[in-house]
Amino acid sequence: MPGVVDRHRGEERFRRLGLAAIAISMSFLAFFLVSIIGTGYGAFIQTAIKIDVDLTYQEVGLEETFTPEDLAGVSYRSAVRSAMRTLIPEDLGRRESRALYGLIGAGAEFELRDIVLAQPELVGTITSFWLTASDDVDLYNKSGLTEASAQQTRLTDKQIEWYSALKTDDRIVKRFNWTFLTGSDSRDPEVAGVWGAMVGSFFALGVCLLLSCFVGVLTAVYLEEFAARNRWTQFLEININNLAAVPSITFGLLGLAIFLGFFGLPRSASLVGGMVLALMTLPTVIISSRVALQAVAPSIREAAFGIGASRVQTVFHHVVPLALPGILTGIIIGMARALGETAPLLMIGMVAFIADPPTNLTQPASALPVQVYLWADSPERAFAEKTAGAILVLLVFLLMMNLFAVILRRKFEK
Amino acid sequence: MVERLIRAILFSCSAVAIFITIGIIASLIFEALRFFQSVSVFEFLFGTEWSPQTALRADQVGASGRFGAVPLFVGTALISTVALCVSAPLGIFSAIYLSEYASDTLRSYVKPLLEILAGIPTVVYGFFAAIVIAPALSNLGASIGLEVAYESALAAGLVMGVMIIPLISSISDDIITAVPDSLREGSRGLGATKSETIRRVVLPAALPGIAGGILLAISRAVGETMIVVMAAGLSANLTFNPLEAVTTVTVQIVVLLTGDQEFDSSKTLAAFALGLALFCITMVLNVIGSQIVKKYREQYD
Amino acid sequence: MMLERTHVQPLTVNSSRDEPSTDDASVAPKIRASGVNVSYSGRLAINNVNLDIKAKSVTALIGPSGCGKTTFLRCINRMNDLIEGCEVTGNITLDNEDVYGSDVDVVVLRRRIGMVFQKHNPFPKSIYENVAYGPRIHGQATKGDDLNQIVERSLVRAGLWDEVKDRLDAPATGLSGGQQQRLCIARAIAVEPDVILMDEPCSALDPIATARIEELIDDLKTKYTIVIVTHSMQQAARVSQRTAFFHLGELVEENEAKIIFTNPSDERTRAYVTGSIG
Ligand SMILES: Nc1ncnc2c1ncn2[C@@H]1O[C@H](COP(=O)(O)OP(=O)(O)OP(=O)(O)O)[C@@H](O)[C@H]1O
Ligand SMILES: [Mg+2]
Repeated sequence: MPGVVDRHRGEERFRRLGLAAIAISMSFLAFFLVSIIGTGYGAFIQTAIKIDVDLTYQEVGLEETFTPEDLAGVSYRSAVRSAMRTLIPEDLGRRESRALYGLIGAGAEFELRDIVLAQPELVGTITSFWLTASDDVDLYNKSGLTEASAQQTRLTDKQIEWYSALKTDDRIVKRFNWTFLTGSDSRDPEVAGVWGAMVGSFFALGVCLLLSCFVGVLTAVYLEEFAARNRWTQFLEININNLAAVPSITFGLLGLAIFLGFFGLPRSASLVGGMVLALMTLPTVIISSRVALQAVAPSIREAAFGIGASRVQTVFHHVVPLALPGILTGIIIGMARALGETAPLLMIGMVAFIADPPTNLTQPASALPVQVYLWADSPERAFAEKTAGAILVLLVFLLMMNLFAVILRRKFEK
Repeated sequence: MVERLIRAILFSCSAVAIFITIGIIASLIFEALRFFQSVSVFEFLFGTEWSPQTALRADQVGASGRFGAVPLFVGTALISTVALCVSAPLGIFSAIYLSEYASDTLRSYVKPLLEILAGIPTVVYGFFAAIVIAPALSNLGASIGLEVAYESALAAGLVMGVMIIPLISSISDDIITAVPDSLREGSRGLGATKSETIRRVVLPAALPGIAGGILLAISRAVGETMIVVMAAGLSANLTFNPLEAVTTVTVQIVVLLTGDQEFDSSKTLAAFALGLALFCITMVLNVIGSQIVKKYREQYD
Repeated sequence: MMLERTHVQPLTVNSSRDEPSTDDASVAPKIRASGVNVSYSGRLAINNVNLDIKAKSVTALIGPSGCGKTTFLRCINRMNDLIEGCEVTGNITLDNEDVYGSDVDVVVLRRRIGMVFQKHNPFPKSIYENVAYGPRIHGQATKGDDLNQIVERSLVRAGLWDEVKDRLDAPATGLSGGQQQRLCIARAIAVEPDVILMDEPCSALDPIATARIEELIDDLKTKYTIVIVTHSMQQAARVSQRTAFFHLGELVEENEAKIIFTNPSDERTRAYVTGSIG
């Protein structure tokens, strides 16, 4: 006979089991967020090196009077390189020089050019500039300079020596990495950014919103307000519910076979991406819109019919406006899901390396989650941090959309 | 007149949903049929060797490659099993705690947090599995003398399991809440303790419904793409060992379709055959699962 | 039901079932409630109830809806502990032991004081498993012949054995409403309680099923102390030896059933049993 004491002890154990399950799930979430933020925040910080660039006329090969074209034609690369050489007093061989130039980022000459083009009066002077360091220097600088980081770094001993000299000279700082937000994909981690992917996502979501909103809301209105309860509507309902659970990659296959294969739409375009995402979000939008329409009190409809409004007038003048907050909430949540979706986009070729943001819907484009996927695959260590950074950007967008949906719901629940 | 027009527009919008389904089925079947002209259905379903790469060299002997999908099915099942082993206990126990023990305040905090877990994009989970979990498991294995592949089924399955926890817990929560209080009272009135009541009365009553929820979870796991693309293996490997690298149906679809090849090659068509298999499996799971869940959500109303 | 109540029939107490009154002060009551107050989230539901319940007899609690019958009944085996915000003060004893004492284990208490609910609530298990549930959790018998015997004995005592003996493994939910309620009674007596509390056990049943249960209650009182809440005065008159009338949270009057229904001392009781309030 199990003692009553034992039974009560088992009681507490069982409760703790449940609590532990929740605690474990929550700690997964915490672990995710902490490690993503811990890795990703580095993407928003970059290391810059101060170099004194000799922009005297003789050095840059310009006359006292020069046209903007002349200015653009200056070799900023050699300007940067000679400035680097002046930092180090020693005489360097070819290979060593290349190692020295390796400290500064691949985009430094373009940074310099942009500054000088914006401020032509700098020509003729020797001016100090903070220019972005290379990704190796950046990683080393952000790593805390421990023994372990010295082991991991790809910098040579000589480069580390130079780095230390510059550091003691106060020529190395960390600053906010605007390039990460304004730049597009690049082979060089220090100039890579998420802007191009954001534009691609924006285009695709725009298309998705337009299509799924229009078709989704009207379908919901039809099903809730017009359709008779018969076989056809039942079939439609079952069909919609099942579509909501179809794996997303299947929609990509549909897009590939029909939009690309059959209709010959351009590969990798954000237009097709948006269309595929719209197919995927449509069931979500329909289902949530129907719930919102169901929540409108029947008395509203009766009142409208009572004053002689037609069915269409009743629905579009009275019922839909009342259901709008609920419908919008559903649409936003659907869009948030579409924003995070990757697999169907891979199917229609949105996995190419795209160095420029798209300017229209038919150009090859990337998308934020696809960018995450591409960078995560990249062997360069500096991209791990960029990947986590891109994830942070993605999560911030998702958070904003969901918050907006919550606020909307709260506001209209009263 | 306007009235009629608007009705017509509404009706055609609602037909779009049907067209999508038809589009999916038609495109999958059409392309898959073309695939099965060169590869027999039997080989595809029961062959144990998957090496589509050789299909690229069309001039060589054995140019059609090998398209036995069993290793992919087994790989998918293996990873889904790992995922379920993680998510089922955690999800069900979370649901039990939330519905039977937790205060309203705790519920109001934990439920949205679980929803966040469900809302994280799968590509993020994939990154996590590949960058954090896989190396950690590999190192852990090495430290205790086990060889854990870098792209082990374990890493992908573990992270996928975390992704599925909210799905299982929210369905289980609904089902457990639908078990009428009169059964709880009956059991307590006989002198059963709270946990005895939950284990012997509430859970058995809820079990079929929870099983339906688990079917839906399996369907999610089978159709999940990004986590496995990023964290599971790329080459077919017929094994039941979760420490080894396996590949899945979805991974192979992505691998076959993201390379550069013309649209008509057997490789491309094979992806559609896999897509068809995936669609059928998930559809069956969804239909059965959602029927059961629906029944047990409402059974005592 | 409402209609029925307006037709007041002269109530007759079945004299054959009427026990000789053993109002012996030396026999301690099975259950004694003194000064019991119950409040739900601060709202008083019953107020200062003092009631003695005699062993091996049927005590009926009657009164208009919402007067606190269920509340009082659930105090006795502490089912009210399960309701959040429910507070019980005063004193209830079972065999002179304080039911609310700090050393009392509700698990043990509820094994001794079983309960049958208004709506039959068999577990979604087999008939056998339903009856075996209590003995199993309390470890009285966990398997084999012992358990089979308990199940059989309980079903026989509940008058259900002949109807179900060939389908013990069938799901309990497949039984008729009356059978389900008798199964719940069998389930309650399987753990060998001293007291059985019944909260309107027949309210969901048709007259024939009700008659079966009333017969059963009458049989059971030879072994158990039974407290039954009922809305039907005919039923109270038929099955109970003593009857307590509750009104607006107070125990108005308690006496032999015959007296309550024929010659109550309180005006409110008279009004209720003749059907002019309630
Ligand atoms: N769980 C509860 N929470 C709050 N108040 C309650 C609760 N249960 C009962 N009450 C209140 O306590 C009072 C007595 O209720 P009780 O259920 O005991 O009445 P009753 O005599 O059994 O009525 P009926 O004949 O309708 O079953 C009522 O006013 C009721 O509203
Ligand atoms: Mg009651």
